[in-house]
Amino acid sequence: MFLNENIKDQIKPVALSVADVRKSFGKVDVLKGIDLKIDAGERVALMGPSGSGKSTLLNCICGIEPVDHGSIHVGGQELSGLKRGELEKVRRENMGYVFQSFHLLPTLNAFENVEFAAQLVGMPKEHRLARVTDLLEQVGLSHRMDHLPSALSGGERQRVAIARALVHHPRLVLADEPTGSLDTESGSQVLKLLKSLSEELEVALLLVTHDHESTRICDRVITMKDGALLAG
Amino acid sequence: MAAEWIEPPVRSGKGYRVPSPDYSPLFPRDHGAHREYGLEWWYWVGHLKADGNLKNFGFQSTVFRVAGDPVKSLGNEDGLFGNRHLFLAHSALSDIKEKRYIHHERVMREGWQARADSSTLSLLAGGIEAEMLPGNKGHRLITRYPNGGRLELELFPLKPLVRFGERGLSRKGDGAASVSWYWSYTRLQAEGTLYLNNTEHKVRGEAWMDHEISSSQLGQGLAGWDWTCMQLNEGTEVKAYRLRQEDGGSDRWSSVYWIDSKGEVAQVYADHFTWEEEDAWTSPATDLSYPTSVKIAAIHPIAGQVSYYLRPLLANQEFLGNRADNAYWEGACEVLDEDGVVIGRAYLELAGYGGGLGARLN
Amino acid sequence: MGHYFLLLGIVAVGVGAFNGIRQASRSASANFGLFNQAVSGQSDFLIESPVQRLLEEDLAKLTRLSKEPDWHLVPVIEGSVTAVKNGSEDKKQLRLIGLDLLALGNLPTLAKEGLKFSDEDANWYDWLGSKNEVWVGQKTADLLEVKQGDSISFLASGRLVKMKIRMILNDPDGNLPDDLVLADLPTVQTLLSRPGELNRVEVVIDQVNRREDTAYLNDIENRLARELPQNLSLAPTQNRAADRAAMTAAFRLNLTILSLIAILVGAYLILQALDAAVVRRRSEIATLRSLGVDGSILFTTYVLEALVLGLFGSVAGVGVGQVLAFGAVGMLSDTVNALYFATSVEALNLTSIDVIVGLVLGIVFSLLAGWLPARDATQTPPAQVLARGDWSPGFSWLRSPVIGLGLLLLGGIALLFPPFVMEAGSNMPVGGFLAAGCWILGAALLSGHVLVLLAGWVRPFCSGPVFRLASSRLRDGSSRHRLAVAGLVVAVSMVTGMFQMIDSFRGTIEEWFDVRFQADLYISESGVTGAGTVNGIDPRLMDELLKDPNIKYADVMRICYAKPPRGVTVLAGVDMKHWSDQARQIWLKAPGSLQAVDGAEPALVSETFARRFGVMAGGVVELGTPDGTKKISPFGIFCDYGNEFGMAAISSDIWSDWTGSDRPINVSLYLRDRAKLLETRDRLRLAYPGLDVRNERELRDVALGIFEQTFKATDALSFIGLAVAFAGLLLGLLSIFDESTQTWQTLKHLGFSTHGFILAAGLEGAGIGVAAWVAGAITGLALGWLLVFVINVQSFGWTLLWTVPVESILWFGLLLTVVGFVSGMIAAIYWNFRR
Repeated sequence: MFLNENIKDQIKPVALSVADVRKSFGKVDVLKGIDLKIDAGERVALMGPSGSGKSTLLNCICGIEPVDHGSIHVGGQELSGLKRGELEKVRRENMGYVFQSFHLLPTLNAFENVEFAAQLVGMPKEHRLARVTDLLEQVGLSHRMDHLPSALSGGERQRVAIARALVHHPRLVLADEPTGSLDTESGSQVLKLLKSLSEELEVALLLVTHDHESTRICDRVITMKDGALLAG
Repeated sequence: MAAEWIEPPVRSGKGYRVPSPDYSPLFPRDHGAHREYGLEWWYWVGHLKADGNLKNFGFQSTVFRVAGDPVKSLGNEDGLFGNRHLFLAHSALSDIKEKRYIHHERVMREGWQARADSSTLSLLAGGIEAEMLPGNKGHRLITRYPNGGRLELELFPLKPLVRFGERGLSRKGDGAASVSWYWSYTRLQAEGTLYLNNTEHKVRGEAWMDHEISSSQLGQGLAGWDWTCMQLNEGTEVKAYRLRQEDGGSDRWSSVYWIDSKGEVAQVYADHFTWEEEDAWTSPATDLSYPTSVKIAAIHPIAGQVSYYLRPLLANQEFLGNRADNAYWEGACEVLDEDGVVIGRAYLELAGYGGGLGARLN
Repeated sequence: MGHYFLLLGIVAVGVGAFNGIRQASRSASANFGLFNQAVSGQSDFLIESPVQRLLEEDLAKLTRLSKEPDWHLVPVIEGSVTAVKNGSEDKKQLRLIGLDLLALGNLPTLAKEGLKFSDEDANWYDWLGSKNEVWVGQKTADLLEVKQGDSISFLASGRLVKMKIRMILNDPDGNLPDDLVLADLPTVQTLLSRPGELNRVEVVIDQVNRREDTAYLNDIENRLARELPQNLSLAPTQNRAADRAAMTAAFRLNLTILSLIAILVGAYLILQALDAAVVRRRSEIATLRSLGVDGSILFTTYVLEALVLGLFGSVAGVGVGQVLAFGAVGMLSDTVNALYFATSVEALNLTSIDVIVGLVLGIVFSLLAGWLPARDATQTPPAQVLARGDWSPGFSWLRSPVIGLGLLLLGGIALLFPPFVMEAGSNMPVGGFLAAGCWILGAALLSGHVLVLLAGWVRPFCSGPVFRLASSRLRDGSSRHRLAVAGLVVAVSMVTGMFQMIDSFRGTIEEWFDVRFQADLYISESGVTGAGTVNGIDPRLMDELLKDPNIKYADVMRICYAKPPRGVTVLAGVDMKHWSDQARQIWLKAPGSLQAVDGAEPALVSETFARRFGVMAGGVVELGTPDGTKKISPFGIFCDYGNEFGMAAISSDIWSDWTGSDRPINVSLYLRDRAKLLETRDRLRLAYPGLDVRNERELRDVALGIFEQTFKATDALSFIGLAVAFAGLLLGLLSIFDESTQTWQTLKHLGFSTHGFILAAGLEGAGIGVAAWVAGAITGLALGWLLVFVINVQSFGWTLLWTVPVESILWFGLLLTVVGFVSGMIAAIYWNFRR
């Protein structure tokens, strides 16, 4: 396999560790000392009302938002103190992201969208083509690989997004309300996929959701309120 | 009345010829230009009636010739843009009834639009033209005014030409060269046509013509002069002038001349007459004040004390030149006696009240 | 906000380019050659002869008119002299004006201002007729580095003379042009060796406060006309202004049309930017729609925004125009000098008309540009619909090639229109300009397809994520990508077309030079260039020169203006035998191939002349000359690129009979011993310092120098057009990135590097540049053909050899690509910084 094989062998099986992370915007304390650990292959659901700090936490984890205090390790790598280029590297190599509204690149077709993420980590071509084809097959879209996102249904788009989030063997997949824009049936398909693929690929999943149904695929559920975690 | 004789030099300080005594002019040749002399003018004034005496006009038409370089100016002009002589033309018309005074000045070099013949009266400058009539019985004078106005006159002498001054020299100052040949037709019968405001008026009246030639006109220290020519109803004429000194006094060469009905001339100098300012008019255009009402009291060599009261027929007869410092007052007047009875007509010239003119013509 | 400033700036530059050119060309040709008016004040009528030369005998006939106090007759002689700065090679061409300095004092304005020609009042006449005294204004004095009392050397009519600066004229308002030298009229006649000659007599009315009184002016004109000698003509001065304006009308219209392109490009950009604003606020608009806000309100809002943008942009544009006009005015006056008539720059003045025209243009174009986005905004679906998925706005017309193809076709049809004949006899190629407009617009509309097509071709070769992203976005061809290309295409096609015309012109002239100029030496008055200065050489000097022992044959040319029924043309006196047999010309119709009409003077005419007066197949043209109206009939037609008024050459002796002059303008010398060419040249140069003695190579350099001068204004406009287009490209790219916010967010989450983003943006910019170049170059080629074969032939009457400057076009393509790339990166960096 590819370079992540090496890393996988070396590091402890902790995909994400968040220690006493604080973040405030102006006078508003959004994150008030968050501690969270997710092991490799573990699926955690993060619930909480709107404005409880879920999105901010997610942004801090993927390094888009710097923290005021505390530390975040992704795949054993401490984020704080990294330069922008290094952060981008951590992000593209160790993380996958699934958005509520899919966020596929509109000018690339399904295959290219998935391949794009693989290209970003420099996966060699032969390996890449096989991997993309394989993944799209796994998400059930091998017959629609050359369609532009605009020609796909919501569920299909999200399945492409899942494939894209996993194509480069990330340690951690962050999924932000992945079923929020989908009907029930498509939503449960997407959840199933997330579960099976994360199990199969031993990828940690942090699933942000409002929906109790979604938490079923997770190993544990944590709830956030007013910038703090209620249960672990 | 004899005064001290000062022998004039042959040439002026600038090198022009100076009029010589005992000169016998020959006409019409001497009506023409005298190019060797620095300064020369032809001057006509007169009173005209038109439309069955319903309208009366005064007119003044003057052409000055000023020589340039005294040596070069002798030669004849070649080409249309001469550089040896300049001409100034002053034309004015006083419409007494309408209380209008129209006038204009032109300054030109000798050439295509200004010239003066040396052999006879043949003048052209700034819209003024003069020439002898066939047979030299008289002469024609054409003067043009703005808006197409034009005065065409035929002028016939009613008296012979008068040469003023002792031995034919009119002295204007103590400077040896301050003399002129001063020749006048003191009474000319005038008839002709006046075109004014697109209307043609037949006009008749009497005019006065001066032709004066000099090379250094005024003496030193003069500020200007007051001058008048009167045509009295009784058939005589009076010419009087006061050469004003800068200190306000009159130069001793100021004079009064009487021309009797036969054309004989009597003269007195400054010590025999007074020129009293009786009223003044202030120009709204230049703010200059001109003494336009005067009393001239003189002792006639024979008749004794005489007084003339000059009253302007029109207040504003101020002549504004192209240059602002060149304004003077020259206008038609009537002459009254001590009892206030009109005894004649006059033209009165008040020069040098604004500065410039005297200096420029000197 | 910065966005809006940029947008305002673009409107400002568009309006400014138009207004600047308008003002500059007006100021460059405003004095219509009446330089004396800087001294003598405005004149009301002109008394002229058909050839713009009066003799003193004509003046003598005007004496009668000169007596009237209602006006002043001001005789004028003018010519050019070259000032040679003492002890240097530095030469400066100046206008020498001769006036009757004394009579000037009578003029109402001068009498008022008291212009003095001498310090010493007592010697107020001594300067009259002085042979060597001149007067200059302070500006000229500064330029020549002279002060009162200094001497200065002039080359005049081929002679070197030393003159004294009598006085620096008092000019508190700075009215006197910096190239004006004033002297007494006879002095100038001597200096120019034109004794007894004048150019014209100007009439200034005395009562200047009645200038607005038409009845009064008519009356004056009638009175003047009654007494006017038969051979002279009288016309209000403003007619001359109108004549001169008409003479340069085609030239100015060409410039105006070019400058309109800047506005057109500007309008594209506004459209683009407003549309981007609609895109940015799409969700906001959608929400408003859901809340039941009426479409017409949205429409009004966006149109209002365009209106405000147009209004403020135009106001700024009027200011920008002033600035541009300052830069352009000198350039244009050089061009007018070289091509039409002597002119000098008049102070730039901004009229209320300028302001109004600028505002109207800016606002109208902005409104037009705002209309599409406004419509787009009203078509935005309510939020609930929008939220369901990607919603793509209209602009279907940009995606359909029908309108574009239709425009191309319409342009083709417009070519069939005949030219419009203007007042001064010049032709306006209406069809040509219409075709150019249609083609540019059509190409702009179709350019989006070119972009998509090209991106489609390139895409399979793109492997990396950055290239892939960029090429996929280009191939997708969003409306805004298409708009960006379209805006650029307008400028590119214009510039490419201009390149070709100028290159064709240069090539043609070089070719013409090779054939036409076969003599050994060419002699003309020193320092004089261009059509505006018909001064000539003192005939006595020429006689003397032609005695040189090494001269085998001298082809002496004399020219003057002649008055055809319309406008003005040039009548030349030449050695007909030499011209028909020996002198080489590019003959359009060789001598003898046309039959001269009996009773008319046989003439060789230029192509321009033949086209203007409809004698390409022979016939008769009547020309007003000092000797009355004469008929000439062509028996041959030659190519000539000297001026657009045309030239008819007749035999020298007839020319002298007709004009009463034998003053040569130039002479071509054929030498006995060609080996001694340089020696002869140097000998003549030494003997005649006031003459330019040149060999063929030197003459060519001078001619090409004039040529380059002529196209300066065109170059400048091309530059402005391109600058606006690039500003637009930048703006367009910013809008494109704004529109793609979601994509960039996604990429960020995917860990796509900032460098990658900037590189991708650069590639997008480069792609747009390449597409614009391809579409623009093709259109430009068509425009070049149009300029050379339709517009030039119709408006100037000359046929050029079409040259396609392949190399320049390729370099231009490279430049576009690079600039596009850099613009993309700059836009991306700015965008990124702003986030």
